[in-house]
Amino acid sequence: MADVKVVCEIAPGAQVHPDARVGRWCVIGPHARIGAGTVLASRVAVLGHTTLGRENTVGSGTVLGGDPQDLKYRGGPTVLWIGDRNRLGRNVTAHLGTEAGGWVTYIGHDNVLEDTSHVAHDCYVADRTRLGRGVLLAGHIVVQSGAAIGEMVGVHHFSRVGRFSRVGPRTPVRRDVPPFVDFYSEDYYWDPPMVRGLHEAGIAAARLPTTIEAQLRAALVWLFEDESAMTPKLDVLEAQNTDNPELAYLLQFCRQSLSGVYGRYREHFRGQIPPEAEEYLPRELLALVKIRMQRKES
Amino acid sequence: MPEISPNAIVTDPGQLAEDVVVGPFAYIGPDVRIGPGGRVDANAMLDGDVEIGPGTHIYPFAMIGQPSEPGQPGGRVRIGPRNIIREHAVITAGSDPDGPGTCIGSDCLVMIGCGLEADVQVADQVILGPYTQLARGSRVETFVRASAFTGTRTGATIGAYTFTSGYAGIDRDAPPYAMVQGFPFRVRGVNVENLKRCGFSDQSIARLKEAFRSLFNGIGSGPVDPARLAQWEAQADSDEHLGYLLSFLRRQQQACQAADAHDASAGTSVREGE
Repeated sequence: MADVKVVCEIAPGAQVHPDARVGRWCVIGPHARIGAGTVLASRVAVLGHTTLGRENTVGSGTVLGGDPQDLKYRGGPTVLWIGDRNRLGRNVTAHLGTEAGGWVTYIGHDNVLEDTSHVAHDCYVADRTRLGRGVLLAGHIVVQSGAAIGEMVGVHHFSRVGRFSRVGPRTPVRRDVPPFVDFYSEDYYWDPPMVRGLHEAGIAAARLPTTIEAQLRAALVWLFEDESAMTPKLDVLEAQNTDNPELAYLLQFCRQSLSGVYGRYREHFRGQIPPEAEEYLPRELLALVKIRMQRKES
Repeated sequence: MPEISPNAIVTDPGQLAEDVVVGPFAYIGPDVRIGPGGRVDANAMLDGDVEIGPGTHIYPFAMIGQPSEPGQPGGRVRIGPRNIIREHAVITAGSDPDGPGTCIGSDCLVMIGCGLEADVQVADQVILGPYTQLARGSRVETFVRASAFTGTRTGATIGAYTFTSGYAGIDRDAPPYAMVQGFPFRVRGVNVENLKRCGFSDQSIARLKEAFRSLFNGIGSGPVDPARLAQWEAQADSDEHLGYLLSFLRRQQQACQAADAHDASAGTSVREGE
């Protein structure tokens, strides 16, 4: 039997696992699903078509599955999908996806979302990421695995934050952040945010083989040591035909960002199912999304 | 009868229109009036002298109508029709019980975590981005688009149709029709996209661009040159938007001059006292 404290409102139809713990004054909507071992502190609202996996902890005042703030949203049965073992702080907000943006907001596994952080509609937050206090992810953003975003960072719509990168506190992110780098601005009002070095802790956390790491470091330093044009450097690195998968990923990431609008690759996917859906979403959910998008197009 | 969750606390349900919906654990105080079609979600808290127009949606954990100083009598809060107040937004009561209070017009979107201090005046069709903080007595004119983390100084005004970029600090009045960025903010140009969406003619936009290039000197920091402003005012121009821009800047200059005069007289009196 779920450990449900005295006063909370769970709508008929909500699926709360018997091993879940629901605190006082929580509100759980009729389409919510809460997995085993998940703990909701007091005053948590789980609304809309929200799925919370196993062993998550959710702090007080958090609202999951609220309507997107996108004014184009028309009340469709869009989804917020949260995986396992995530730690959500107090007053966190995560919104549903939108019909035009691919239907799903996704938060993977083992993430830490600190107090008052916000994940807007159609975002994909992968695994083992950290969002600091007051982080604001605007819509359609991808945060790849292992990325760490500092306090009060605002990320522009359609941006990507690359794997194991770090974004410094109070940095306005207006374009894609490459993987494995330290990205911040000295003075967030006037100093342009840019790559300031390698994210050593991120590279260590990636646990790469020595040779691969050495090649990756050399490439990162060469690409970002000055502000000269990126495309010729990418051409040179690609011509070397290395079999280093991390380097190939870095080059592909940079090439994609350059092809995007204002350095944001995901701008290409406005109104479509984003490519990350294939990578991250569970099979059944992906199939559902594809059917709904086809219906919308027809 | 309004549809009120049995777990909500509504002190006087008679103040709510027939079809208002109140979610669980919401608190609605005795002086709160909500118009038809209003919706108050779970855990929202409305207290004090609050009037909310028809069709307004208050999301979970929004707090409306509490005074700045706990325990002190608060003033009014007046929220017009068809507004959306998102999660964790805080709208403080006015400072004077007899004053106009804190006001929001119609069709506004107040996004998550916004803070509106006492006596803030927000006009119609405004969008306040997440975590926007409006200090006491600030004014936001019609069709303003404020990006995330925008903050205003006490009593500052954001002119109509203006766009503020993320983290912008409005430390003085921001002109209408502009895009402003940074702290202290600079005028980066005319907010063309918003003006097009609002149906401005190409001629009007071109005229505004011309005036911006001349008045804001390509840098857009600091006050407008009085001589150039006078030069533009001398030109007979039928464009109403340009006229509004010039009158806004003239009012701003007069306010600056009055403040300088006040500071000067205060400085003199201090010296005399010494």
